[in-house]
Amino acid sequence: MNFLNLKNNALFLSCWYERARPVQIFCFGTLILSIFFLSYMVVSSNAGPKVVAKTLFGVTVGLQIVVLLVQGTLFAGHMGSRERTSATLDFHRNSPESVAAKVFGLIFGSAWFEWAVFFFLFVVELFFVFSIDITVSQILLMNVSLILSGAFFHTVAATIALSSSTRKRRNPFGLILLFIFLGGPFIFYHLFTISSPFFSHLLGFTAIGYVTSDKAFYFSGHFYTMKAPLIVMQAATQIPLFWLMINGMRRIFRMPNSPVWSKSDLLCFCTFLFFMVAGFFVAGVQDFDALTEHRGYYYYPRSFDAFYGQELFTYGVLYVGAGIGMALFCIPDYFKRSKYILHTKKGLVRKSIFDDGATGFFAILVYMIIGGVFLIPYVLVGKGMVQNALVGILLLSSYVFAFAGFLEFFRLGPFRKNKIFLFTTMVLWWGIFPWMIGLMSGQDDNALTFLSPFFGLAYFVASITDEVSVNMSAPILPFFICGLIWALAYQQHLLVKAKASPD
Amino acid sequence: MNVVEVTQLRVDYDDVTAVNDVSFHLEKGKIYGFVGPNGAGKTSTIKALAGILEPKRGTILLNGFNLETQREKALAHIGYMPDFSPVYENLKVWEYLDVFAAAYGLKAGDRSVSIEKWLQKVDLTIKRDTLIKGLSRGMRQRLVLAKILETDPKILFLDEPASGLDPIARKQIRDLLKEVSTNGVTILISSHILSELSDFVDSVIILEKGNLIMAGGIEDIRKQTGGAQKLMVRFTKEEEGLPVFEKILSSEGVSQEQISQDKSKYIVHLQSDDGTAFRLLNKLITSNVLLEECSVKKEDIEDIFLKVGAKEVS
Repeated sequence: MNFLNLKNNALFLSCWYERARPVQIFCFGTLILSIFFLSYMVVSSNAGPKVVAKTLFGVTVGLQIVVLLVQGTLFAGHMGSRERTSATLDFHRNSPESVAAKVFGLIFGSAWFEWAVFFFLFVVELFFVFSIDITVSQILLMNVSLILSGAFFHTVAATIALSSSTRKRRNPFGLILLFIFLGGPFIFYHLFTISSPFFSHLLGFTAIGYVTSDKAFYFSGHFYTMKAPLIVMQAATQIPLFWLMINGMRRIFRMPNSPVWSKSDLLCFCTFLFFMVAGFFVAGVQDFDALTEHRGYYYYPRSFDAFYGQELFTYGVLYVGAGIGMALFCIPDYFKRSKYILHTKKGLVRKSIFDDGATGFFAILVYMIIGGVFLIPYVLVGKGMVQNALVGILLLSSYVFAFAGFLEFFRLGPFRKNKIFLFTTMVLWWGIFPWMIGLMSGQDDNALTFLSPFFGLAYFVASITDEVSVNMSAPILPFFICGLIWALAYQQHLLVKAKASPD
Repeated sequence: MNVVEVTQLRVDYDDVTAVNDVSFHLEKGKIYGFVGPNGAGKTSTIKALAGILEPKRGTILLNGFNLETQREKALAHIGYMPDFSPVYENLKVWEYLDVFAAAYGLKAGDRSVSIEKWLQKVDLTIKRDTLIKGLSRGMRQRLVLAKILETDPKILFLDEPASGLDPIARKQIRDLLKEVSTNGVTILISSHILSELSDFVDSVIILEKGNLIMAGGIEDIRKQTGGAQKLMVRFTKEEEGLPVFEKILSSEGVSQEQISQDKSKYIVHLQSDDGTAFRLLNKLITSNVLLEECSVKKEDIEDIFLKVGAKEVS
């Protein structure tokens, strides 16, 4: 299924006989030409040739986005789903090709038509450099950005489509939808507000930044003022998640009766998101005046001016890089070393809750040090330097300790096979419950919301500037929460130990 | 020389153990029958050997390569055919073969020669440019057989390959497999029609409830199970012939446990093929007992399988 050798790619050949029929090509071509013609007719009546050219360029870009990111994604998902339901997936599991050939062959073989249209439109776009105020490098950068997003979207779609078991053991896609339905309005509203550059890179809107100078564009953030690094930031956002999906597909091919993602994969995913959201929040906010209604979530310019100024980009890259490094290298070790090692006649028994901690706690220590190093300059901004430093370290430690408690509980507990449940519970516990409690008790729901790790960092930084007084409940309450979860984890440990005993 | 070595293979589906610590080996150029009732773990074992299922534990060596650590190298030597072979409906017959030959690293020139050769062998040359969705079930099975054979595998894992086929197609597949085995290809074949395997396989592996009951050459197993031959007689006049027959059996030291009855037939299960069956038959005939039917034959796989404890033949 080598994607470079399409005539030996089963997905490509299947698509060829289904989608490259003359009637279909004719209809698709007619549709595209009609859109161009209509756009021309609409603007040409009352505008000059430059405006018309600009409009047609916009239409071309829009078509590229729709074809590659929407249509291509749908087809990648459709073909992945067909591979699974028709069991032809087994042929690939059984073939001696490398996993990379299978994965990329599947992704690109499914959506080859969209890629072909995309590149055709790219060539069309190049002609606009003669008629409108745009450079070849801008067009190139925009297309590279779209290519990254296309590959990422198609991989996500194919992985989700392949990951549903034919035996319907579970359907991750359905669970994700359920999760979005339950937590989406709250989670995405707040996250998007806090870290819009993160989401604009993740969702592939980065490309638009290269061809528009519209400062009022909602997704505009600090990095949109720097042209070249946009691609770097987009890649830094998408590639680790792309890797997560590729790893999921690798496991689908090589470990067919195991879950698509291992516990360490999911932990990486959570940690990465946490770091990315926080990192982009720290690095991305600059337009404070336009966002005064969200004062609680944002820093004030003074801290940037005082400490970072022009170094903001370096800071952001380092922070995000640290997040990636942590997520990819440190956290998986936690589980590798805490795998089951003892076999008894009653089954597999995991190590003691305290014995397995050496590697795991090392990873957590690294996590804390990274966070501490990056937070110290912010802590110094406040008036009470020592007090703020202590609060910061307490807060970060409590999150890490609580996080580890959750992992221990789920590792030892009855839900250990259900990773989606783990993730949902964590989000509920840290994100949604505090918010609901705040609403029901008539208190400041924002203050309670800040207790969750995702928002706590924002609250913490806001609180140590002189706008909000330091509230010790923020760092102390997570300790209380993690105390409960550690108690539950210890109870599970005792149960496992009791089962493992000879009697 | 062992081309497949399976050590303590265990396959679990959640909390259910389908294959439990099974160990066996397959020798080069031999045909092995894989026998067991429904749920015995045959398909799970074959899928694990073919890399379709991930074993919970155990080691699988295919042509010397460890399936877990040298997966691509190990899979390059095998061909796997499930009972209902999934195919790409929208590919032409030759394209389908070409795609998979390419996946096994065959060069373009070699591929076209190999495709034509195997299309001819499975009698599908006339369908070369037909879309697969236009093929019958039997043709699809033959196509999949061609697909796995075109890559020149050293080992074949076939899970009920003749399932749903008519007798002619079954014979075609059987003949083809006999032919490839003479070229040194090792075949592990599971089939629910045990009599079909009898004249076809060199050895059997018997599974029950995920456990290996017995494995080895058919002759060895016959000896182990103490049932090398069976003598069947039907008397013209049972009331006259039976007392004489019982007396002859008693004089030859045959116990009552070795005798079974199927309607009017009397079957004597003998522990060796040392000529006892023919001696008994000879005595019976010289005693002037009239026989309507008689036969002496070796026990087949079904007899062996039933004898070693399986409750029902799937």
